[in-house]
Amino acid sequence: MPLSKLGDNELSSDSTDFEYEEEDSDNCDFELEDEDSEDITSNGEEQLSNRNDETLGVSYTFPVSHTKMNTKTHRMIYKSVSLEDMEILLDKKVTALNSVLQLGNNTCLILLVKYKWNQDKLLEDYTNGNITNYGLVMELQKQEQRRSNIPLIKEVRDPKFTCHICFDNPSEGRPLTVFTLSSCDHPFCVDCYINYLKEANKDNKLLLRCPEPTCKQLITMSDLQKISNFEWDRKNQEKLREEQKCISAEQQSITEEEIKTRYQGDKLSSKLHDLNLDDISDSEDEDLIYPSHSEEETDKAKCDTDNHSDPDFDTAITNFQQQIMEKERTEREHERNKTIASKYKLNLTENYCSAHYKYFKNCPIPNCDSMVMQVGFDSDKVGTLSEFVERKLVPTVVCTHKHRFCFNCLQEDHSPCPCSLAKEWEKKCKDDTETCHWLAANTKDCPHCSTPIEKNGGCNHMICFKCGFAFCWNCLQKWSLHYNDFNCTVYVGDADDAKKDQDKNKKLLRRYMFYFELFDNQKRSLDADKKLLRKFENNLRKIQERCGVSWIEALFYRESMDILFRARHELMWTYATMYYIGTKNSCELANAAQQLFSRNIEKLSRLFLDTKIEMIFKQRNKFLNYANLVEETRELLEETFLDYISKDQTKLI
Amino acid sequence: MAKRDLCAERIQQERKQWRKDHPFGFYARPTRAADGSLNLHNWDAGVPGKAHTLWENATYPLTIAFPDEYPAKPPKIRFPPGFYHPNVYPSGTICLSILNEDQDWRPAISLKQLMLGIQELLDTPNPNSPAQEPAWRAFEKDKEGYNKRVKEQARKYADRK
Repeated sequence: MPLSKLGDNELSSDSTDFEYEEEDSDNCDFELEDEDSEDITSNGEEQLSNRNDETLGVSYTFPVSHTKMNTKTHRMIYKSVSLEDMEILLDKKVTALNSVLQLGNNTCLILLVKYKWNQDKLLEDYTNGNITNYGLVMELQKQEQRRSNIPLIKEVRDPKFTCHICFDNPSEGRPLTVFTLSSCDHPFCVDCYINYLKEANKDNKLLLRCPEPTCKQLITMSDLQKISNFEWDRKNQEKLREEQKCISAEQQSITEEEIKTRYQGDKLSSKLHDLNLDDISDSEDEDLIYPSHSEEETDKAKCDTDNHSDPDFDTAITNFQQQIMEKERTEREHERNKTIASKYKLNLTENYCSAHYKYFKNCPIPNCDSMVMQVGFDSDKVGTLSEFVERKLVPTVVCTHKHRFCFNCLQEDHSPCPCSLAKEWEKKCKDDTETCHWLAANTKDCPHCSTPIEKNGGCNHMICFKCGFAFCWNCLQKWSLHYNDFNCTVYVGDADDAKKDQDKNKKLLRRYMFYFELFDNQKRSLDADKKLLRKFENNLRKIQERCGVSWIEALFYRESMDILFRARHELMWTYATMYYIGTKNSCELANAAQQLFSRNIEKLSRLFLDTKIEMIFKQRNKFLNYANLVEETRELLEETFLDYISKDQTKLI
Repeated sequence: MAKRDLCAERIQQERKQWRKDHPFGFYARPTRAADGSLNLHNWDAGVPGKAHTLWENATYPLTIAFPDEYPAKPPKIRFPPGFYHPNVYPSGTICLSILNEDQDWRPAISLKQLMLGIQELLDTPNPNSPAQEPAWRAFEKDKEGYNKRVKEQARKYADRK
């Protein structure tokens, strides 16, 4: 679905569609609430009207962006969403469609499902009058108008009535609760209906029909909502009754109101309890046993435990964080599956997202269930993600849980290194990391075929196992030269011509090793920093008690740490980028920016070395200043690289 | 309120209904385990061929398996493996829209309706959804061969007189 293609607007010739035209021009698929993006869209609309005169087939709604060095570049516009956001978005989409079609929300939703969410096609068919299911539309319309106020759930007492699913009849004193669709006259008992719908939900079915075989009526959202509410209320009442039973056994004079409030209170406290926060901190207390000394001494003891890293302790913390995430996720999942209607809505949303899989990507971090939605590109040349990536730009996005990842390759953020190069680099690292270290330390390359060779005996006469070339381990010259008083232990200044090729290889390898070491070093520092942060956060409770600081006051530590993480991450990937683009471009500017950046990072990083809590809080301002500095230089670096990449696409590998 | 076992309830009811009234020539009953107990989830059944068709004078055996989700999901009805019919898979599974949960299955379809549907299918195969190669090819290209094979099959399952 290209954004706002004006060319698609053929429908506007029809009289009814003024509204639709507007709708389409900002493509109600992706209606955003963000103020920023609204700005962008409104700008875009101005542009649109300007371009309308030109006979351009395609126009885009976002203004073109530039780097700080004023080179034209492109940026992906995105929005991070949760499934819940998507549900709201879908509702809006349906309402918007209804404002055009005027068929009612239920019908519009069903039509959208039938058209596999292809709204343009649906509108086109509708205005041309050749909707494939025109009969269906009429039927649905009738359905909407009919009996909207008649209760769908009622009790039947007539013993002649039979539910055709369970063949149950009402008997005297035991009426049957039945449910009928608003659109037909086929009552079935509520339990059977609920069972049927639940099974259909399990199979992710979106078009559900009346259980009567001859009846073609579709079950609409409002029908579903009604039966779902009924079920939910009944469930709660049952719970309440059970609770009441338990309580009345102990204490008979409690009113229902009291029970209700008590029940809600219980739920809250159990939620808190489930989060396990207290448990963990308790167990941690046991880990770090302080004998009851004076405060200063305990501080010392604490620092000691800080400095030596206990692997079990570390994994326990990671597990703890994962547990929280998992717990939250299951809670959300539970919420989504709670009622028939909510599960159906979830199915709808998932169906919508998978129908637009190019525009929705799930966050790749385990246990994170948020999504990122591609909104568009601020460019007249780039329309799709692949075009964007072809230009060596990185679509880095941040999900609702603040995880940064690349929208294209769904890996950890690797900007400013282009996707293809990042992939190559990762592969190279995986293949070569350990090997390279070992090779550099223990082998020499065969001067003839450059195969790495390990010396396996005392003699200097080497024969390459691959090409059979005989050479001297010392000077890497032909062995045949060594017969006539040739002394290779004398230093020779000039390099041989034959050596040049080998030198080139060696240079490349050295170059790789150089950047790899930088990359690896940053990665290690990053991991170490992460460990430090975890420790800090886990000790924060005690710190708070000891120093009397609030959580808000300690927030700066976390924030500056986050900035440090991001900075290290980005620096890491600039090294990888430099390995690939360094030779082909004059990179003085990039080098300078890199240098400045890494210096600032080190400044910030040094602050974290001080683990004394009091010192940390004393240096609060320093932290903030350096963090700001790092952030500024990071932006500068990012822009510089973006500039390099945007300025000259062809020079890149 | 006690939780209702809708599946068992429905199967019992189907059995009751079937006993009370079923079309002539058909049979359907739960299987018995070795110890003589009834297995309500697995049934044996038979569908007679319609008179004045290739399929007449024979009763074709079926097995019916009711899943736990029944009646939200359809029962699985099969002919013996290798049954010769354009819309029957080599495994014996029948390709019929009312037996397909993604197509026309509805919880209110009764066993009687299913059996009558299968009888109907025997002589009016649907060449648009072939399920096995030999019968379908013969039905499309070689009517004579097809008729011969069907009659052969009818003799195999012929009613004892």
